Amino acid sequence: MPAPERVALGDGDLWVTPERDDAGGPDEIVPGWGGTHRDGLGVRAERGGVDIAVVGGLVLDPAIGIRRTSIGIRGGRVCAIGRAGNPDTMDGIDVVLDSQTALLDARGMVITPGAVDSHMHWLSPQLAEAALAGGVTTIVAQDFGPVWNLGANPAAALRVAWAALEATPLNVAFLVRASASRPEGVEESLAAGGAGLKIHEDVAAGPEQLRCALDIADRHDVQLAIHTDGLNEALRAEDTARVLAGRTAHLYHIEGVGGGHAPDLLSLAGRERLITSSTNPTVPFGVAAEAEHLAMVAAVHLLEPGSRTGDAAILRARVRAWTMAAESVLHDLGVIPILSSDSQGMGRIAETVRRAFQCAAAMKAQRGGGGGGDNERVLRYLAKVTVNPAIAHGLAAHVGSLREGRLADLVVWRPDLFPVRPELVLKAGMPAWGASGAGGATTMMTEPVRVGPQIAGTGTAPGRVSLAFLAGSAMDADLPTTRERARVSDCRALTAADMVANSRTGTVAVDPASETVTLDGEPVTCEPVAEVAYSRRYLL
Amino acid sequence: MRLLPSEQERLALFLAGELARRRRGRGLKLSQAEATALIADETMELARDGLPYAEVERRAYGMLGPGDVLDGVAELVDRIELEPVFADGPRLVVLIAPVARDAPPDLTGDPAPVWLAAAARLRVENTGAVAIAVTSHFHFFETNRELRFDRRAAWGMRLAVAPGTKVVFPPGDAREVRLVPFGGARVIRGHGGLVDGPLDAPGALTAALARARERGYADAGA
Repeated sequence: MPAPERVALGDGDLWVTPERDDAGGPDEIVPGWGGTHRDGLGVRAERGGVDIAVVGGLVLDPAIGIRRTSIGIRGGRVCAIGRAGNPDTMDGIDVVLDSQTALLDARGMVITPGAVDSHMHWLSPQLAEAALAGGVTTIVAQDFGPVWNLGANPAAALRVAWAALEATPLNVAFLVRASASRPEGVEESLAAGGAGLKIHEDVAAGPEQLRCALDIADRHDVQLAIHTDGLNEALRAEDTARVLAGRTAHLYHIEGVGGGHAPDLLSLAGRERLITSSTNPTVPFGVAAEAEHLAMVAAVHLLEPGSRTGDAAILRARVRAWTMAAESVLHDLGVIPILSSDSQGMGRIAETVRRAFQCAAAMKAQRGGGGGGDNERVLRYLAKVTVNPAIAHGLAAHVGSLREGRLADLVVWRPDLFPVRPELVLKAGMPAWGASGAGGATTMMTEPVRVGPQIAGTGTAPGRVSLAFLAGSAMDADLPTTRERARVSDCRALTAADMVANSRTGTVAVDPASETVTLDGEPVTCEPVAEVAYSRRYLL
Repeated sequence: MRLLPSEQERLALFLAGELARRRRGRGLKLSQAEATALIADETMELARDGLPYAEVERRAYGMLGPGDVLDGVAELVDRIELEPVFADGPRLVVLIAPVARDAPPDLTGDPAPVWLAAAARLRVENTGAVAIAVTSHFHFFETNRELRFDRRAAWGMRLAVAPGTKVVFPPGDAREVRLVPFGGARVIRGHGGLVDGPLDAPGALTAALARARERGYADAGA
């Protein structure tokens, strides 16, 4: 068999080379007229095969590596990975096909785990369409519509939110508002259908709320996501670290323009017990990022700069090109392990995956590397939007990777359209979203081809192919959902070392006087990106 | 109007095509979506103008060239499927790389089979009146009874060609093929119905040869 050839991912000058090929060769599964996907040939006549097989795709998965292989699915979960075929007539078969196995031909395609967006304000139903079309299959969500909440609560609202999600093929974990200095209400909301906690300075991020929330998080083994005190009203960055006292928390938008201690929130990156993430409009750092954020912060956070005292000052302190310039580099170095959207609350859920690879491409262009191929860099950035947010929020036993036992949520991409337009999004192995054309035509791909719901995205299927992530105390909650319930777990002992391909720690120093950021004494900065990859060459 | 879904789809294509036309009019090079939309929309209109199928297809390849699109877009637009409404109703037109190419590809060429490493060679003659196509993983022993070859020599073997390849035997023709043994547990189910069991079981070959004789399979080895 010839050596596997490297594959270009879109127009970003990112190249991946399969570490092994379980799919090609003389026993390749070829569907169609006269192919090998036939009873008794490549398909076993007796049962014993998987329910669904995704064959011949180039799998990119931070936990598996980069392999041309096939994925077997049974009961909605990955049950085997390797060579697909009929063990009666072929050697070395890992994924058994039988005459009842449904086959998805992924030859020539790239496959990634469905992305996990760990910072999502679910402000409108349109977000779900944007998420799925961007390759996101799991959301860690706050809010249930355009209400000022910064959590998903109280109990009555959570029940309505779960009912609304019945038509949406996304796995969902709700964070409830933990900006509270008394635990009773927070625990009541959590038990009503929550999966984690959220502290936001717009509803209070002081020491009492932090301590109270950490205690609740420890009692229930859930994660605490924090938007810190950007006003520095009660706490400085270092004070917040002291209050957290080595207990694990997820610090949102660590660069700071999304909110948090100005100007030095970023100094909390690189620490052992603080899991950090970025939101996507600053990643990669672009030429218009500063201007956009002056508009965006004021629009989203209800400021009146120029007319109400103090608003212009806090806005200027929060929007800093020089920390944005450091953030992209800290991603490339693996110091910031997660990238999320902050959808409609200062971020774009449609771009969760795309922005990760735009950053990878920009950092390759500026910082080099990848002489022997870009496998390592590609997996590092993929981990930021798949396995790492899943680990951080206690979802990793179910989603974030295509390892055996995980839900078969995967995204099939044409390599040349990756990561702009997905071909197909499978939820629990079933086609839930993807590209298809005119309904009345003779072929499925007759123009206009649009990315929209597929079969498992309609009827009552969405609930059957999606999980409700819940805290242990909510597992028996009275919820109007048909979803399988999955308990979040293993949130409290996490450290930087648990972050796949992004576990670098170090001292990040932020100096406002010189407007510089250093990692262990070395300056970290980049040039603003003038033109991103994965964008204009494709879009309408 | 009582617009049908197909008509609304046509409007979506028109709007995207019109956006692309205007951008092109301003001197811009087109993106993947823009180039696809423009070719699709204009091609649909050629049929509306009354042009016949072949002419519509031919002209579709001349609408945009690599110089009209952003770098790399000619390769991204690898295939456009359309159903323009001709005088005899909607007809599927498939354009293969219509930016990169000036004309439809020639679909008539049929390259000779590429043989992979083989364990055996066999002369095979089609004694019947119709062409017979045999694929890579079909048990060659039990192919169509009008093929005459040494059946015993083909026991447990399949064609040594890449999966998906068909070796076609025209009526009255004879040619040499190359074979490889099946792997795995070597159990044959289905295929031509002469085996239905383990290839290596004692007596399996003898029984299958008897069945072949009974059912009139041509056999140069008999």
